[in-house]
Amino acid sequence: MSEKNLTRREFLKASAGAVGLAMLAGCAAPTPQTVEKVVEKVVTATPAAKQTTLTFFNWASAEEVTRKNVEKIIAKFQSENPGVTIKNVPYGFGEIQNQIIIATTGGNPPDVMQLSSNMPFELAGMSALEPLDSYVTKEYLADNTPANLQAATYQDKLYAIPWSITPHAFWYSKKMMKKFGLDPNKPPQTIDELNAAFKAIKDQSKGEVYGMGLDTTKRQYALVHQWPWMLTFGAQPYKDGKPNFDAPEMVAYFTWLREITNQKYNPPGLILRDFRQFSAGEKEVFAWDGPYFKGTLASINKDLLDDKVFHETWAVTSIPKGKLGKAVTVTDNHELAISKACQNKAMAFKFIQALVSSDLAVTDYYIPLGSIPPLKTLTDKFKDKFADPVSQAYLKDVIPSSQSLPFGPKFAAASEFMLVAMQQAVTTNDSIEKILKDAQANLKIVYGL
Amino acid sequence: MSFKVETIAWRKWLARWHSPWNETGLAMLLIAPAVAIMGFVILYPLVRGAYLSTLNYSLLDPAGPTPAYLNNYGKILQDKVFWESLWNTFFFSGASVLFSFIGGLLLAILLDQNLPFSRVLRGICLIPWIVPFIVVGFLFTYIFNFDVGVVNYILRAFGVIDSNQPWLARPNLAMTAVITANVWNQTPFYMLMFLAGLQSIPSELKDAASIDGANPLQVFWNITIPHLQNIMVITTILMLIRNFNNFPLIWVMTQGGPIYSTTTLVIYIFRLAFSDFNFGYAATVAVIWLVMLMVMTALYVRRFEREIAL
Repeated sequence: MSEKNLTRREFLKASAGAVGLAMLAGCAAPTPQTVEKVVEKVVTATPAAKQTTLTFFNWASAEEVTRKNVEKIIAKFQSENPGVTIKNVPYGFGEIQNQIIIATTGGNPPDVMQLSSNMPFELAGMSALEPLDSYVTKEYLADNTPANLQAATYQDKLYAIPWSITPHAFWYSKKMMKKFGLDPNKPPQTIDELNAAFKAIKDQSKGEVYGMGLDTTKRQYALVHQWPWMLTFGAQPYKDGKPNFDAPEMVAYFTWLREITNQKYNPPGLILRDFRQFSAGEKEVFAWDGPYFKGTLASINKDLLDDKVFHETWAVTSIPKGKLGKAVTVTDNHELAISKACQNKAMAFKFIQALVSSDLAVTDYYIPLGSIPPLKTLTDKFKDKFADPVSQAYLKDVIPSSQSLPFGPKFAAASEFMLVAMQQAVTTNDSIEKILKDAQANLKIVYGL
Repeated sequence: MSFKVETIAWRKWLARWHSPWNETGLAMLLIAPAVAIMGFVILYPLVRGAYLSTLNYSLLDPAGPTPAYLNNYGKILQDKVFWESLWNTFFFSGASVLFSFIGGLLLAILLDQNLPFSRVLRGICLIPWIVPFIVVGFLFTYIFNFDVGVVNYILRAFGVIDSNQPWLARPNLAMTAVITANVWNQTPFYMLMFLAGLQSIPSELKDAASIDGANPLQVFWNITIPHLQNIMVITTILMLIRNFNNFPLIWVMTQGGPIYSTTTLVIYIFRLAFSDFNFGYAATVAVIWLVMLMVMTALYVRRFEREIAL
């Protein structure tokens, strides 16, 4: 009999080692290799004999409100273009950027992709997108709002086509304003009037109803949410190609933000979704939200499904004016772009046109989503569909006051420091001047200044 | 005759495998597939991750990776967020383990008594342990909600606070909220381990000590604790390792904020890699984090070996 048989003790030792290794395996960081392995194998477009497959990464198909309507547009496009197959790949909004970057780095990018905010700039910075200037006519460009084109232009080249246009605007509950002794037909026109309204609401409701919610979380979207308010205070966080975060106007804005949070006019640490719950439940009088506000509120409070009831209860206008002296908002668009590696770019652009400017897109995408089409010709052609007070306010006041954010490949890293500074201002009693000075120093490093 | 010859040959062939050299060879052959798979799924990513830590590698940079050698490690020394994350990691893990330990021990002692429905109670006490981290995160996000959270409601009802506190939006409160959620989730594991230990103590020992005049506290201190000592140490190390890499709970509740108050090393690595796409520096932080985990794992294995030897 051999002496080398495993004893119980040795077996237990080996087991302990195995458990230790298993723990380490569980602890292993998500390296690029492990990530690359989970990237879905996607069939890219090939120029095979009259057969074209275009992959389309988008979050519109991942959301219940828009999924069926996007599929409808795709089906129509395929029937009008025999031999073309659209491979629709839905990803949630929160993960689509990672998926596109990983697929692109792995050499297998989607042909067409839905983008938003800073995504076109990061991908253009990676040289992953096809410039679209040669695909669009001057007339097409003129049909768009300059700010919306600016929000998709990097180093003077257009990298994405504006799709649905959803900038934030100032919503006010006429019903609640009346309840708290405010004139429901006179929403606050200035920051001073807004502050006075906040105080009246708090006093009258004994602190049970909030004035307005501004997203103060660490999400990059919180910056998009707050940016127009910074501009209203006369601040230009990024000026002439350089960070300008410690300007006196930024001090004024952060001081105001701290004050409205400390006074509990603005509930801290919540995201836009939470504020909509408050608005639907009559716990918040004003809202800073997009044109889809009606749809989201009606999904929570069914009474608001009735247009008449909704328009009697809520109305929308431009942001109250501050030191800037004029109303302003920022672009918050969904865009469509084509990968540089796409094998059939002409067909990909034709598909984008079907998504952006077809009649079906208006009736079955923009309107159900509650967004505004980017093209003036479309809103003119379907003017009866956009004749309601909300659409009119957006078309006449809000969209023309849009500005693009200073997006770019370094914006993600920069936004981290801006958000940290914002949270320091809201959650601590530290000197705002010092907070902004520190943030400015970090931003200079990010931008290599 | 032939039958006999065959039998002898067969025995000789078998005997060959009993020689130490051949036995080792057979063992290596048998474990080779497992080693190959483990090497591919564990060792290769680790080595590759260590290699990435020596590069300037941003996915957003079209120029691709360039050598950084040890610059990323030098950068860590200046990186305030790294040091804050490191402190948060130790604080989160240490506090979670400490409070779960105390809670688990108290529960185990309670359930070790002959209480009515003790089996049912044990089952109920285990429920938090089987709830996934993600669900615990969402659950406690609502429990600590600024407006409708039950914590604010109770504290106001008892007059502890005058107005609702933004638990997840204040740097000094957020870590408390996250640790509370984690302790709720992990206490049953300690309870389970300690209860098993308590039930393995021979009752004769306790009886003898009582007859000799020891009071319950002395019995607990001189008999129960020494018997539980090994379980305590091993469970603590195991849970330190588990808490060191607890990502989903913190991510769901605070995403590492406000500011960096709940940013632990795993959260920081995730942000560097998948928000900034700075894979080179993320790998550097991950290597340091992994070294710390390996030290803890080594402690755990050594302690486990000692227990077996006893």
